[in-house]
Amino acid sequence: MTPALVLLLALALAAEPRAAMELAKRAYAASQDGRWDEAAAALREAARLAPANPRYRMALGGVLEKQGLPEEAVAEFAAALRLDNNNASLRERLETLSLDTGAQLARAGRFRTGLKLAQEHAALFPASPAGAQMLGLFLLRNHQNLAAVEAYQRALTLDPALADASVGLGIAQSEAGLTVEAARTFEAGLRRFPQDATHRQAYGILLGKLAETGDADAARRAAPMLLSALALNDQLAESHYQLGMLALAHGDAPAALARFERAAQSGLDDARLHYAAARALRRLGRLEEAEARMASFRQRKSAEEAAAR
Amino acid sequence: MRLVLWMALLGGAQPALPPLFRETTGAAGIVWRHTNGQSPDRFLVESTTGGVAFFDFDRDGQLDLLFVNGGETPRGRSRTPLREALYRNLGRGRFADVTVAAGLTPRQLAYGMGAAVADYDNDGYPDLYLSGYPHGVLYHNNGNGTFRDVTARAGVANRGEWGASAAWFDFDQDGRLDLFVANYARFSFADARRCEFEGHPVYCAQTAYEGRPSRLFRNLGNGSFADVSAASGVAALPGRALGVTAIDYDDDGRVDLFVARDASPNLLLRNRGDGTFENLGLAAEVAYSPEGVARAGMGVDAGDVDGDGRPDFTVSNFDHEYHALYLNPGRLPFIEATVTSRLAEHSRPYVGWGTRLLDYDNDGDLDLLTVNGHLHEMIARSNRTVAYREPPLLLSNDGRGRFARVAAGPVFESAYLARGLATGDYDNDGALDAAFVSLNDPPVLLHNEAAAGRRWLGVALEGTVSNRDAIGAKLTLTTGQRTLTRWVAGGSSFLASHDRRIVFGLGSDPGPYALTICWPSGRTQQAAALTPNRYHHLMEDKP
Repeated sequence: MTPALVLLLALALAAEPRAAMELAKRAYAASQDGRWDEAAAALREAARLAPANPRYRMALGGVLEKQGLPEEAVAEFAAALRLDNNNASLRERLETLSLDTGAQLARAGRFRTGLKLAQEHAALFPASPAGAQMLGLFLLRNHQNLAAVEAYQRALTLDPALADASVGLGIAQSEAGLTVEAARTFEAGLRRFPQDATHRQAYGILLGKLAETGDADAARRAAPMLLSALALNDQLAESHYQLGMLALAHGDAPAALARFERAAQSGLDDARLHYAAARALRRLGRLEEAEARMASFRQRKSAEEAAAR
Repeated sequence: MRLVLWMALLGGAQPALPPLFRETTGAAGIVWRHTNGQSPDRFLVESTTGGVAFFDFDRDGQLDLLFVNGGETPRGRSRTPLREALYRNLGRGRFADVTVAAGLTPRQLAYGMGAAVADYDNDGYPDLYLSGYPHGVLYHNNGNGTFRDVTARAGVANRGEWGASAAWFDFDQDGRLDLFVANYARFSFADARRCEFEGHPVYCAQTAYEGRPSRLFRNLGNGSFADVSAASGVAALPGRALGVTAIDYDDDGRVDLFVARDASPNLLLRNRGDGTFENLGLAAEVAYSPEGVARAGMGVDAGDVDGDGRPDFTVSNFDHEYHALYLNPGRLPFIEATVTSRLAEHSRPYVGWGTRLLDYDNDGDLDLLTVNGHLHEMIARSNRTVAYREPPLLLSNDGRGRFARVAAGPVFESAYLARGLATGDYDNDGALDAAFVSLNDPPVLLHNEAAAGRRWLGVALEGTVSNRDAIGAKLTLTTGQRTLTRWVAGGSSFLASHDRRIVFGLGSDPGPYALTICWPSGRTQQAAALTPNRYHHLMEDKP
């Protein structure tokens, strides 16, 4: 539904104060000319004058979406839905936009904002498995690990076929210190999603961490698990990186460097990769290349820290 | 041993083993309590306080104890005036609070952090630098049991900064001790940062606070110091510094610095010998974790963990970052042995602060004592294996640099919000004792009972050409069976100052024992036919 259409509906159906309707008309005209700021301002005022009419909020949501302000749009749609809970099209639109916005926030590393959005989404759509999964992700990113475990568990209860939620559950359990449960989740995931490489990758990472703290069985299984992930998808950059780190820890610099190069070819280009590659190059006596990689590491590290701020 | 084994096999309760470290706080008469002024505002400064020092301020041959308090915050007030606590060692395990008589009241610190002790004017009496926010204080020891505040004249106030650990060392080899102050972050009580976890107030992450440059003060020998932070290159390396140890890591005769920093890369500052330092942290691979992450470095110590005669470094970090061990192979990079030493396994759930490499059982190998304590009250909601209050860790070295956790007594089964940790032999029995401060709690004094029956050899150095405390000296003891290398380091651990004497654990080694001392002045001196189980006072030969 376009904002213009929503406006028309609002104008047709509302029995509102005349001033609000005039503002809605003005907003409609502004939106026709692409003057979104003006349209938004008019609709905000209309919504203030007629707080019980969901359509002004809905129209405002549409305008904000056009303005590239998805978080604000979600808030307006959510306010509209609270006023008109039976509006199926609004519900559908809000759910889609909210999930898309959550994905954008996750990509941008805006985890605190994302958590707020996900919590609101979960309250509005308690039966949404994707919403529960999104909540799990943002709780995890905000270190609320036990709450993340619960959210992922709910997602899987609502839809047991969600492979990503299963991976997320295992990671959340691992981060929450529930490593036995995490291993159990990953083992179950391997059986239920045998062709899902990300389960194997995440399990391999967990085994690698357990190996660092003296788990001999995990030490034996970590590399084969990561290799099995790559057997399903050899473009998994993280698996290449992790295998490189295991090789480096065992003093096999040539193997480590080869893995880091594969990780880079698969799209990984973060600070830690350059740092690891520099360390491998040093051990191979390729000092000039190592220095260049260290310079890349410093550059990316600064950029990553600036982005985090 | 057989009885214990049988009891275990039969499933019965094992008889309680005597503690390796026995708590003697109460028996010693120590009743002071730390205060950090915690309030709902959760000012980060509250989380990093609690210094401690072992030093013989009255030169009666018995180590005294100093505890550094935190302070008040705008909404975290104290009912009684806050002060440090100086406890004079009366002998027989008893201490008396002499803070007032010593002139340490009224308090000159606004908010206290740590202590660094050294005889900066070479008059034979140990002086006292207290770090804090927004300034530090230098107390000169008058030699009559009292101190006087000489901060203004000395020019070491470190004004406007949140000073954490500090280290005395002679960086320019002029025989006078200089002062390095590890500065943490830009901070103000007027600029409250509010963070929550599941609706509860918590401390904001350290990354919300901009790191500051540390400071280096050069001792001019006339009671004043010059700020040479810029000229030395130290000022060009801002970051959240918390711990520092001063030691000659590359055996070139000049004392270097290892600075542990919190979510800022650690520094390895090589002393170039021309008044400047070169940061080799990245080249040494001690700046970041293997994943390229700047860990939350808190405390740092140095010592020869693997018996190769070179100083290795340990850094206490945040939970799941592991307390790190960097082995020094005599060239760069260092070898991170955190996993292979099993330090990762033992330290995983802990946020470590004070950390000391010490030979607690006098078997000749350096073991590791670390005190821990989280700063996130809700941490159990984030990770089931991590607690807010945490136990200290005593790890025994097998001689090859692999550590095993030791059940050391009730204190090691209790939980604290521990911060500063100092070591010293307060009863002169050749076994290193320890003391640590826990936030808003009484401190903990630990008497070492683990080294009984083992031989030892103690050395107290006195420089003549070198600085009188001999900070920077390297000691190599050759016995009939092995060679042991130790250093008189500056700083070390977290917010702490330690017994300057060196104790060599000899196990059952019958000797003979011969000692080589490389003084900070560059002179080398031999001492042979040393008798075990006593301290030897050795003076630097005059030219």
